[in-house]
Amino acid sequence: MNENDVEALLETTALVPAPSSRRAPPAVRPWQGRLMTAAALLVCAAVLAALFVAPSRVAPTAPSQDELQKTLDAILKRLGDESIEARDAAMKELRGFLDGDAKAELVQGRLSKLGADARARVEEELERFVSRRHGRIAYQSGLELRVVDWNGRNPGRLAADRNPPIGVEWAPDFSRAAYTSGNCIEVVGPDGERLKRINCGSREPHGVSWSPDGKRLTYWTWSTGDAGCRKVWVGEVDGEQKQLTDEQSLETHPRWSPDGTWIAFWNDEGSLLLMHPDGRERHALATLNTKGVEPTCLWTRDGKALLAAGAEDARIVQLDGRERGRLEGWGWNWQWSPDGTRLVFERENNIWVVDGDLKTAKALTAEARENRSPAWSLDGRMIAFLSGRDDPRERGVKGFSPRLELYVMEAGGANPVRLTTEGVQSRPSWMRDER
Amino acid sequence: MAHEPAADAALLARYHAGDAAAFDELYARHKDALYHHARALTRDDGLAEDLLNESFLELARQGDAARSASSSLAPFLHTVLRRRAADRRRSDQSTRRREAGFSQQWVRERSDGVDPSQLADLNRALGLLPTEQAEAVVLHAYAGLTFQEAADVLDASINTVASRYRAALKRLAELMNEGSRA
Repeated sequence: MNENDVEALLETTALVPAPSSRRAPPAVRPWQGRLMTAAALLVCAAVLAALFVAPSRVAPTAPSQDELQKTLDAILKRLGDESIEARDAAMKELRGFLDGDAKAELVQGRLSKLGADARARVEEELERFVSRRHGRIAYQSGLELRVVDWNGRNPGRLAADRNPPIGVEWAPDFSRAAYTSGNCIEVVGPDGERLKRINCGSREPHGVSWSPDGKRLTYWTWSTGDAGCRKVWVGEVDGEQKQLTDEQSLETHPRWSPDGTWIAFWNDEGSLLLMHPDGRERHALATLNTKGVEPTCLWTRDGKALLAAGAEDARIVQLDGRERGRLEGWGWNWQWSPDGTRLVFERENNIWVVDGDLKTAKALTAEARENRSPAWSLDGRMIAFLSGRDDPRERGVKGFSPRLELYVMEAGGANPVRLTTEGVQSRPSWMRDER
Repeated sequence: MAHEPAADAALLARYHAGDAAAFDELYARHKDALYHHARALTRDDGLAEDLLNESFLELARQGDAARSASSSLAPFLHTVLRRRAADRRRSDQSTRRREAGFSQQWVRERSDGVDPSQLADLNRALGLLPTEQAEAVVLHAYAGLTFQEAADVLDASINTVASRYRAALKRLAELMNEGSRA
């Protein structure tokens, strides 16, 4: 029996009838309905009058602190109401009220004045507010793609397969994620539901990058013909996949530009190249030493330049080829902050941050053990990363590599906290909190 | 399954005009889906019955709100039911009552030709579904809500609800295959 059989079976069945113990509804007299309608009409008329008949309309001003406090206290007061509906409505209002840090602090300051039940509900709402702002973290552990809240709560499994889920990339609207699973690209929904398998005939498709409209992907694969060759592909998520570079090429790591008109990629000679998604106007932008490392290219938020990182340095290169900034040394696992002003990266076992012109770099961690794969939260306030700092085993065995776990810290490097105990193998990826 | 929304609205209007029989008709239309939705949420038949009744009492009290909220009453009723179930979960009383009584009877055959052992497997499997998946099945397959309507009821995105429904079908198939092998 498969899913289709089950769906067909559901159609041939009906729910078992509910027990017949219904309480009588309150009797309604005909005039009540008319009275309610009349009252509703009066309210509507009053609202319309206020909107359109008022002699002058004053531009809205931001409410003062006192007004905010009064609004909040009115909402919180209703949380103690006997009516369930009133309490639920108040919770809904509280969610609408919580639209920024200042208001969250106001709510926090009122917690001690609430009863136990109301306090628990408000604390839960505050936590949801923060989680919506930061996002949740998806990460690979063994064969599973797992997810956890920023504070380690609500861990769960998003997806599992026969192959490890590697290199998770969320679509720009977070409605889907794509990652490498064996010889396929797997596309899953925010609940981990498998939506699509792409290009399963290729060899190890890697490095997915979404088009800005979330409809297409670009990625690279090893050649099926010659083991030494690598080629760049582009394709519709729901349609045809097209090889953009020829069979004998050695080209990898494509990244889609923010406006969707260019794809940047590397060749094995260290040249950063650009081409349109249909393969036209292919040209080189810069050349770096990339021997022995996987090169990085990341578009700036405005799409007017790229970060290009190789074995000896990282550069901000404009589309006309001019260089806007350079940072000496090898860095790896780069990522722009959501506001596009900073970059986080990994260097010599630690996590670093540097400004968008690569002028001032600062280490966020200072550990002898590995710290890897940093990733900004959706609001740029937190950084998730992997670390082996708590692995109790000592070094000394050749090839020893500590077991990595998922951590988060504040964007300035403060308060690192471990979130997992099961071992994490590849870069964490923040996703929108859809709950 | 799905009801004609206009007929729902007309029945509610008749009830508000004093026709008590119209309310009986509305109850008959929606009670089964609401009851099993409540069972999926509470795993307690007695509590599910209470929630079913409370949802209809709220419909009687807030008829105008229900009519303005949607042209169909099912989303309104299921939203009320979920809210009330959440409220019950917070109370000690419901904690004590949980699992007090819970039957394995979810569905019966609607047309001839359903294999009784398959029906038994389906009932068992429905009882083992996680709550979120069971809700998606009751709302979409039996209450006749579209994914968008179900998403509104469940306060989730349409993709999430569709995913839960597909995951439920997959899980039901696995459970039924395990059942038939056992």
